[in-house]
Amino acid sequence: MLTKSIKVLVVEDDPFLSKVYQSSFSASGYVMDYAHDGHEALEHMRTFRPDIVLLDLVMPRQDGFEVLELMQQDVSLAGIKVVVLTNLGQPEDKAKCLSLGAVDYLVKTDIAIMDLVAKVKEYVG
Amino acid sequence: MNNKGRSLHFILLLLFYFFALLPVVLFLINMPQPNALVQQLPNANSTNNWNNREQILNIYSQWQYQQDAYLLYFVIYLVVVSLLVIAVSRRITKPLRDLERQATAMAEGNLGTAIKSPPGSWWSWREANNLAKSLETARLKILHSYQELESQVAERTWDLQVKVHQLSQAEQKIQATNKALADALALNERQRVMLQDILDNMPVGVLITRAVNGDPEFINHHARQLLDFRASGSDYSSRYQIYQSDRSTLYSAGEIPVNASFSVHRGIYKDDLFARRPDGSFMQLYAQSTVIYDKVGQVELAIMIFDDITARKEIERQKSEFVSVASHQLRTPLSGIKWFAELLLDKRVGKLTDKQRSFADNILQSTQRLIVLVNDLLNVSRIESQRVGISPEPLDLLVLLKKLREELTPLWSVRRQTITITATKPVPLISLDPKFMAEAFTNLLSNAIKYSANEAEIKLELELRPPDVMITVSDLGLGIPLQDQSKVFTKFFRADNVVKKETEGTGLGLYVTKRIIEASGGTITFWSQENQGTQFIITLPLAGSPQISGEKRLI
Repeated sequence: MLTKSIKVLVVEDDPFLSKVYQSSFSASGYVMDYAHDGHEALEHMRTFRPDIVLLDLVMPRQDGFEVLELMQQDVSLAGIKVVVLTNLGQPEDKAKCLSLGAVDYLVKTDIAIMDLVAKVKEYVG
Repeated sequence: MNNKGRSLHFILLLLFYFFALLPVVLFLINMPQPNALVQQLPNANSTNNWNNREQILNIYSQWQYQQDAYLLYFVIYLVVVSLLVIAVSRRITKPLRDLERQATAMAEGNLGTAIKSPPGSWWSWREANNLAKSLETARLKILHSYQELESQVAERTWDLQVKVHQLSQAEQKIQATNKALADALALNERQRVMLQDILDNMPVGVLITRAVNGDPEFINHHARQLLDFRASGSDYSSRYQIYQSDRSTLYSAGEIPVNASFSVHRGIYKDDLFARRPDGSFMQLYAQSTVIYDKVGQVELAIMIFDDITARKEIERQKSEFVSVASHQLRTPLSGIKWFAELLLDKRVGKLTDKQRSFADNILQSTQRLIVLVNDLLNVSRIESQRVGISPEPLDLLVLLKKLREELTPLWSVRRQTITITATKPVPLISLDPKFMAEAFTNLLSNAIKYSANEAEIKLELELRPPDVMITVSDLGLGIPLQDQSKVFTKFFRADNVVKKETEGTGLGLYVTKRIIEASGGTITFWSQENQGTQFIITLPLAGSPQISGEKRLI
């Protein structure tokens, strides 16, 4: 078990995928929180204060790109690591997210869930 | 005929009369008058002397008698002399008259009749005869020279006729030539008009420019409408109003596709370009241009054919967007299934029975196949909409192939296959799109793995064949049946023999591969025999593939 509880915010509009994250990350002892769109994600960041955010890009209301932009403008949110998890596979999207401060850009269909857990562990460890 | 002068009869008569009458007149003058005779009588002065009176009467009657006799003699003499003169003059004039008549006839052109000599007798005169003979000689000479003249005239006339005939033949030839020429010109004109009509009525823009200065030679009706063509102005680009893909930069003179083909020379130059409508909106044009050579092989003209593809592009964009969105929407639940299957298989969530484990494994594999299919569909959609750009960068093909072999290890190692990669000579870095090349060779390599038996060998060979590099992917697997070989590169094609073997596949891999290789400036061919194996031969230009800007990249 980890000495300090690591808080993970999952921003995902698809409930089934949220469940996958729940199952895989809870088992590893992370404290989880969930947001279903960009607007909710920013609110949760301010209240929940996660260490790391798993951010989807295509969502209702505010999308992942807007979330990244707004996070850059809010100094109180500095230091929160963002891993983008999406099914948009275009290099342009990846470059844009990385330039907006995301630490990684992962394509959902390309990564095994356990590899994702390992990556997150790497970023917060 | 000149009628002046007196006739010869008249002159002769006049002469005869004069000389015949002269002695008579002289005699009459000298004849003793009765008065003189009377004076000679005795008693001549006595008027009453009856003797005398009788004598006087006698004298007067005798004188009277003598006078009458003389008058009679004189008249007879005159008649005889006249007759004589007439006879003589006739003798003289008749031959002359005859000759005159004949000469007149001759003068009137009757040269055919011979001049008759006067009838010969002891008293016919020689001169007339000679004259007739001379006249006849003259006639014959005239006749001869006339005939000669006539024959010459006939000869000349014949020559002339021959010349006239030749001339008329030549004229006919000239006329025929003229007619042919006129026909040809008319045909030429008709063809020109027809060509212009065809070009003008073509529903695509046609722009022909001269190689010398890039000035327009011909712009058809459609092109004028499409380009909002301004006839004046020296700046080609502003004249044509053709913009680059950013829709704000006008093409420079040399870059205008139609003129760019001058530098391309061989083949057809293709490009998308934009033209501004009068209302300020843009339309997208698809232009193809090529050059036309003159008789000595010099580039003379460039012809560009272009069409408004705005509507088509919009439909393509919508289709692509639909496929893209649909694919994205598919991929989200697919990643859910995949991850749940992975969780099931993870020991941490609980132990599964062998059967459960096998089922979960099947779910995972099926999902992965589905993900590959969706990715392929997405790529096909993007390639077809030509929205995929090529971003070449220096690439080491040998390194790339080795990397792909490693990435595909799960596929071939379980079947204990071997993949050998050889290069006859060091292959230089080639400017190619790495993602494109990875996609193409992954498809070829995974096919080779899939359709080869366990423990089979797969060969990848690189060979320098300037100006190309040749890569062959060879296997000794199932091969492609002859009847299926023509369909290998078509979309969704899967050969009969591989379908029967129930190997997985979408039928999109080779289609995408061919599109990629050709977009990169290369070629792909293959050789195959069923149950013997397959060899794909790819060539790529050492000069590298052209850069093509596009909005999307392959997945």
